[in-house]
Amino acid sequence: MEHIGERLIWYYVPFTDIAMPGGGLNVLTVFNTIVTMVTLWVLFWLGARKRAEVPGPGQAVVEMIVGAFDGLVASSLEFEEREANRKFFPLITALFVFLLLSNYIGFLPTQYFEEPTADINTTLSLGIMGMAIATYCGCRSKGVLGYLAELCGPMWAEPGIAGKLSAVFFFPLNVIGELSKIVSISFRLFGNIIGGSIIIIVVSQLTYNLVVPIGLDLFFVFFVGVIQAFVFTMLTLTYISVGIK
Amino acid sequence: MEIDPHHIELIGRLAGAGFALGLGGVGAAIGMGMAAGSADEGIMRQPQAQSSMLRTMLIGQAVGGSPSIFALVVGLLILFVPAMDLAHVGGNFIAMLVGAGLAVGFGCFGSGVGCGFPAAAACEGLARNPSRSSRVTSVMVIGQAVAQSPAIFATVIALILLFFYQHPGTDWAMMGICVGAGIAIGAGALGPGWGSGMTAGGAMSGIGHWPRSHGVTLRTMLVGQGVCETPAIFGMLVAFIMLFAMQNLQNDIVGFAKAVGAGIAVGFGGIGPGIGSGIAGKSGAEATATRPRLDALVLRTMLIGQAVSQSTAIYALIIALVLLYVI
Amino acid sequence: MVTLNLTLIVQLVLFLVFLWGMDRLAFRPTLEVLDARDERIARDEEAAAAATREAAKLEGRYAEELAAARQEAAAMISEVRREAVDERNARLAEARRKADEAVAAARAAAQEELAGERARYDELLPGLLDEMRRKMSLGGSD
Repeated sequence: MEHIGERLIWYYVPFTDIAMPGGGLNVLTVFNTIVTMVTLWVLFWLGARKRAEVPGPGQAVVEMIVGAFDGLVASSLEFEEREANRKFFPLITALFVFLLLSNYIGFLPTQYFEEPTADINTTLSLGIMGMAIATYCGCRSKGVLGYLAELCGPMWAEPGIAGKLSAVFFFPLNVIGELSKIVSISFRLFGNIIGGSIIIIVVSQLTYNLVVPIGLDLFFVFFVGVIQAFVFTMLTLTYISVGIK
Repeated sequence: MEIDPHHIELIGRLAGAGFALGLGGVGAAIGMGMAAGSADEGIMRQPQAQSSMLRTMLIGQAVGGSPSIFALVVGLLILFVPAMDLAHVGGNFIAMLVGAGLAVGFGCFGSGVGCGFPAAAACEGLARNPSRSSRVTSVMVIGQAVAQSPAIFATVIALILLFFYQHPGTDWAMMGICVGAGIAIGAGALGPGWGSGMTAGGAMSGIGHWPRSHGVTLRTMLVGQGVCETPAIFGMLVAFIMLFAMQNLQNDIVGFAKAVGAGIAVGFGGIGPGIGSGIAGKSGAEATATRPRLDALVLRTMLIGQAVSQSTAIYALIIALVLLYVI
Repeated sequence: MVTLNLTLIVQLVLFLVFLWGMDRLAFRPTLEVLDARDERIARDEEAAAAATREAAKLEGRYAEELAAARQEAAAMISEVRREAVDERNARLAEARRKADEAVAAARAAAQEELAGERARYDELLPGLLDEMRRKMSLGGSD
């Protein structure tokens, strides 16, 4: 139980003594991410390959997911034309299916499969990406100056020196607020996934591995996994739509 | 005067387990009582729906009771986890056990109360609309499960403390880290657990009135609950920083005070924002159920309101980080 | 447990690659299929709506014609009825006129007879008086 939460890190590029830039690479995280990616690519390609007018079961599942998220993105962003919503649709859908399978992969009872989402690097990179996109969209729709003015607080637009001075107070707070969104969105997913795996490991150890905590597995892996993947995706989508509006 | 190590061990175990169960059981008890109370009222209103009401109440209480079960498990671990180096057991051991107890005690308090809101609202909704029992029950269980994330965070920190932080002897820095991390995540999880339960309760009462809009309401509820949990995540972040990145904290009473102060700041600073953004989420979920066409607008407004109500949690986080890194 | 390193950037790049691949492999084809199906459904619905409109138009025209025919029939019926009424009235008037004539003729005949009778009465009256007187002088014995 000593290695809870520890990750296998490559500090050097394999077969050489060149130090890995940036302080090492969590090789199992990357490995599991690639497994997840390839699995999803294959599954979705199999589903989307035939393009039948009347879908088979695989195509029906893919179409159900795609159709559901198409509607979800359209109802959240509320652009007039379909193509504008479609610009964000791949991001949101890919994010959800990737997080879902990433959360589920730890269920495989083999040593090298651990959730990529139980590594803060994964969740933080996705959180940074989401907020960067939301900020970019905010700048696109309001202009860079409009976006900055929004960060300067509600009194910025009012005439007089007091409104301008209030920005000294509001601007840092709003910037920190935006940064704290990144922290909260990524640590929420990370904490839930790693929390589940820690609780399962501890319970297994307490029962000397005699009892497999199937109920806990079902709850923490399948239930919490799908809910947290959805929460992460919806929050990203909502931050983007707040940025646009 | 030399104290018997067995006595030191016993002090730590009793204090820690006392905090864990003394605080951790309260919330779940309140929550279960709310569920039972509103099931009673519901049966009074619709006596023929008593079997489905009773089932929903029991499911709600069973799921809502799991924070107290977390507290029970951690409390038993606090009592019986083996001391690695019994001869040199000291203040660090006591602080570790007390920290774990505070973490899980405060942390399970909020989620325990929070899980009561959706259960109570579900029973009320069934009294209004007994035919929708399975839909209402499934949304209730989802809401309760999400409201338990803060308790899970707290349990994880308590387990990390119990299994990685058994240090012999007495060091001010180590004691501060253990107690501070425990308060940070424990008190930090109280408000979010409570608040995200309120959000789930609002969604449940909305679905009780307008069962047709349960899809969008579920979505708003999940987003609202997710945002509610931000203060708990700040608490977890500070706890992680203390546990894994504070090796060079100064080893005197100042270091102790810094760590405990940072824990108190981010922990207690998160109670208000957690409950406040829970109230915002509650109204947002109810509004979404009432007017499902306006869900995107309601969601955006709710999110902005929650973000603003959480600014005090961000101030608390800043103070905690300043305490740890700057002063 | 919370160490940040190169993995952060690698994961970001991997996700972007994943996003690109999913878009190419799955999302675009599926959206095309869905859009084609939606479009076909929309087209079919449009066709159905057009057929419904056509049917409604035909029905409208039919109803119009029906109404015209009905009106015509009603006009004919009322014309016939009017003629019948006129004829009946004419016959009634004729009959009444004849009856009036008959009545007038009968009345004239009766007046004439009455006048004749009256004239004869004037002639008869002196003889009757004499007869009366004679009988009274006889003393009413016979």
